[in-house]
Amino acid sequence: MDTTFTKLIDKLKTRHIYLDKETLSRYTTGPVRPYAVIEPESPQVMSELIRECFSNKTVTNIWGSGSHQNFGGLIQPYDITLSTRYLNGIIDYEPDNLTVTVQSGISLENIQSRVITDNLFLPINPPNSATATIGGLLAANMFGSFIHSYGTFRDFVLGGSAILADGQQIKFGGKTVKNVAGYDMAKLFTGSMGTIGLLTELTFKLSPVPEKILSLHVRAENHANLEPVVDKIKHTSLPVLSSVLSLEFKEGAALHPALSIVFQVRANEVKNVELEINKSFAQDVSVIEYDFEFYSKKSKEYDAFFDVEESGVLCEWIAPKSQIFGIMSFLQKESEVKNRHIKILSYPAQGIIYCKFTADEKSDLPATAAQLAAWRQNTKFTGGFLNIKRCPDRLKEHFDVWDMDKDQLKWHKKIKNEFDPIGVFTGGRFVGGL
Amino acid sequence: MANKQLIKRCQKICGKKNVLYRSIDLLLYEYDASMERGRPDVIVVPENAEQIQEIVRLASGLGVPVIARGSATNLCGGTVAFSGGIIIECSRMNNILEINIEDQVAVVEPGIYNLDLQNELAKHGYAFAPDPASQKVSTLAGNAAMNAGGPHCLKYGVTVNHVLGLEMVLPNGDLLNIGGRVPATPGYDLTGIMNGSEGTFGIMTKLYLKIIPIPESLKTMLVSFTDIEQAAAAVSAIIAHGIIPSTLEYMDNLCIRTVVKSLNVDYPVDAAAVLIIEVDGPAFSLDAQVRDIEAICIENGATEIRGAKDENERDTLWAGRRGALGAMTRLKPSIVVFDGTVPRNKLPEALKKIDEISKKYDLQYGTLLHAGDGNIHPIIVYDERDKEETERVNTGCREIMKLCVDLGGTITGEHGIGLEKIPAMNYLFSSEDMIAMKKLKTVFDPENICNPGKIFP
Repeated sequence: MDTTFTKLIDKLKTRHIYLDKETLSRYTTGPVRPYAVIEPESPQVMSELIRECFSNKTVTNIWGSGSHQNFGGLIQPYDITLSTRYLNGIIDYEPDNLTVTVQSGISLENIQSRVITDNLFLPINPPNSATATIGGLLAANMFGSFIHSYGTFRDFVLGGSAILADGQQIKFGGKTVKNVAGYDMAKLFTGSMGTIGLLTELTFKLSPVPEKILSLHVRAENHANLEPVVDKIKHTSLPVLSSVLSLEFKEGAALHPALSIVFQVRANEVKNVELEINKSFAQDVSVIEYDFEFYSKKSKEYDAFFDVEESGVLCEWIAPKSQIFGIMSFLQKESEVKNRHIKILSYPAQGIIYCKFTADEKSDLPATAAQLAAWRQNTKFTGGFLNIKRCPDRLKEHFDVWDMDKDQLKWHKKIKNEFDPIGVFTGGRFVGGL
Repeated sequence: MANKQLIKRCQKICGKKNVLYRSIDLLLYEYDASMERGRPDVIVVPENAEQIQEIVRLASGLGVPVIARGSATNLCGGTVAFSGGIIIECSRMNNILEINIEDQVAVVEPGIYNLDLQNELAKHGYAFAPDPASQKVSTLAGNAAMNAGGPHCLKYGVTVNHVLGLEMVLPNGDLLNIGGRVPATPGYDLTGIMNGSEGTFGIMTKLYLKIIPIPESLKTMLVSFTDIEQAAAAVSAIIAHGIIPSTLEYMDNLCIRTVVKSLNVDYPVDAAAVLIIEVDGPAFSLDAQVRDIEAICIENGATEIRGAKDENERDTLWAGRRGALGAMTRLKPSIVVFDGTVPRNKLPEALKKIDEISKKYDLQYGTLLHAGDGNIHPIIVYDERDKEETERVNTGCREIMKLCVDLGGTITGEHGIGLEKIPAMNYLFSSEDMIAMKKLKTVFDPENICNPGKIFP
């Protein structure tokens, strides 16, 4: 091993340093294997470690649970992995105030299981996220169908702490919902993919658990038939928790279009909401009532959609809401013209579509890249964005997974350069290869 | 550059009628709604983003500060020209460019009044959720620059939660589009960072706003208490019960008596405090929520509960609350509106200690609260010409800000730091915390021409 690292490791006062092949393999991202994996026991030790990395120009990769390591572009080489495994506690929990402060390495599942005992929850449900760390999920700005009623991380992260590239520990935001003191650094860190700092603590606003869930499924012959229903969802006064549309396009045919609408209601409102649903959405629809906990487990059935095989491509379209069904029709046509089997999961009332298909890795990648470029160009006309959430690494060599124009990118580079001028936090996965 | 030349250059860009420079103009633009003062060199009232770009490039080339200004309802000196410079007043750019119900987006120019937008949206059955008390005259860009709140932010969030995108003129004159009509965009959340930046990163020239359907129905009630701590306890109890009203406002006895006298509203003058509570949603859902809230309030010592029977009564209840600040300004010549936030369960303690501080420094004050958020507005009335009283007010305010921080809160929930609260930033942040924040300033405004001297010591 490089003597720089030997000296670094000798200097650190931490037990959890791994140099063995097996561990290093587990912490490999793409083609990059670290020289060491270090799991500091505290933010203070992590800070000292990063300070040493800054002094030695050692490049690091932040690792939570590893669930989203392949997210984004191609990772650039790095030297050591910094794991938040031992930063996994609940620091402060005030159910009366609806706030919780946690360390960044705690899993979303552990947070939820703690706060549910007080009938509270963190209103975010990104797919396949039970074991993902809260720091990782926030850094990747992951979200799920609850975006309809609760928004994304930016809407309920109140503050936290982080370690910057030079090892300096900083605090930002606070523990109150309303706080405009200084710049909103919580917004800066959300979605920053570990490029400007390592999050150590986060404070969130919690929400009361819905007393009851009412779920309604609407099936149709094609997606266009569901558009009027989605319109109703957008404009209704009823308490919609989420809406999820799923379907497939195969050789131009629409298969199994279905819309699931979920309402969050108080226990004494169930009958009234059922009546209103029947009035508003359809006659004699089947409305199923759940408790929230049961529903939360059930809703993970959508997680499978986000599992993508090695040659799979998972795209995320975010577009103005009025464009969503037009995009679906476009994809239907594409499935016919390009002979693709395209699967779709959409939060249509929020303007979000996920579509996945299989790219033939051996011969098809340049063609797939060209197709995605055309799709992205199409999205521009609608005022939306097309990002690639998962795809073969080789495709990333042909196509930028992030949809960002050069004017904005210029400012992103300046931000990265200001916060991490020497590149202590490895790049490649973020916009512009940052 | 001599002032005359600066004025001439501004006139060339914006037209003579859009440039103000006489002594009376400079005097009128020397202040905002705070007690801070700072005389600008010139005021421009541009008609479009291109003119703002040229003005900013001019200023950047000369090293002259630029300060964006809407209606100057700013309560912390955020729009005061502390170091002189060019005030860019956006009142002429006050159009609603688009209301798109299908996308649930409104696109507006920076100078549109919040209430004007609300009224226009209401025609379509829609609303923009943030409704600061100043909404009759405060502008959308001003709301975004300060990340304004308002009574309805308990349920719906603050301004940043409803701004999807911005067009901005940056301090180097670049016109940058960030975000858009969609709920999430790749990269750093530049829209989120710009909200609440108090005009120190650039000048907003267009805003893309999330709009929401007006709730089907709402119910408003006025609940009286003879004990302020019981009123504060009721607030916590309502939220802890899992009910999130759309508003949960608090007024103390001095505010009550003042609005009754000034505005002739029918509030209970003997109450120690009142809560104005509103719930909204589908019509069938409200009665049960109201019953639950009433039960909680009675459990916590409420002596009277009045429900608004119709729109007129609702307007009357709200008229008192919305007019409270204006009414309080009639008591004495000067006013300080404090803006701390504490965790909700610390409200009773906070109110008690604020009362102790006020007695200690012999301050006359009334209190408004966005109680559901723990956002406290003690309104201290005094006479700034009385130097001794002013000093007591300033000392008392510093202690109140320190109190909020000690209770786990913050020194400003919605008014911003501006000039007024700069000394208190040290209560909340270390110098390293502030150095980190200032990195963003360095990115966007390395020459420090955009609203300099604000926020940080």
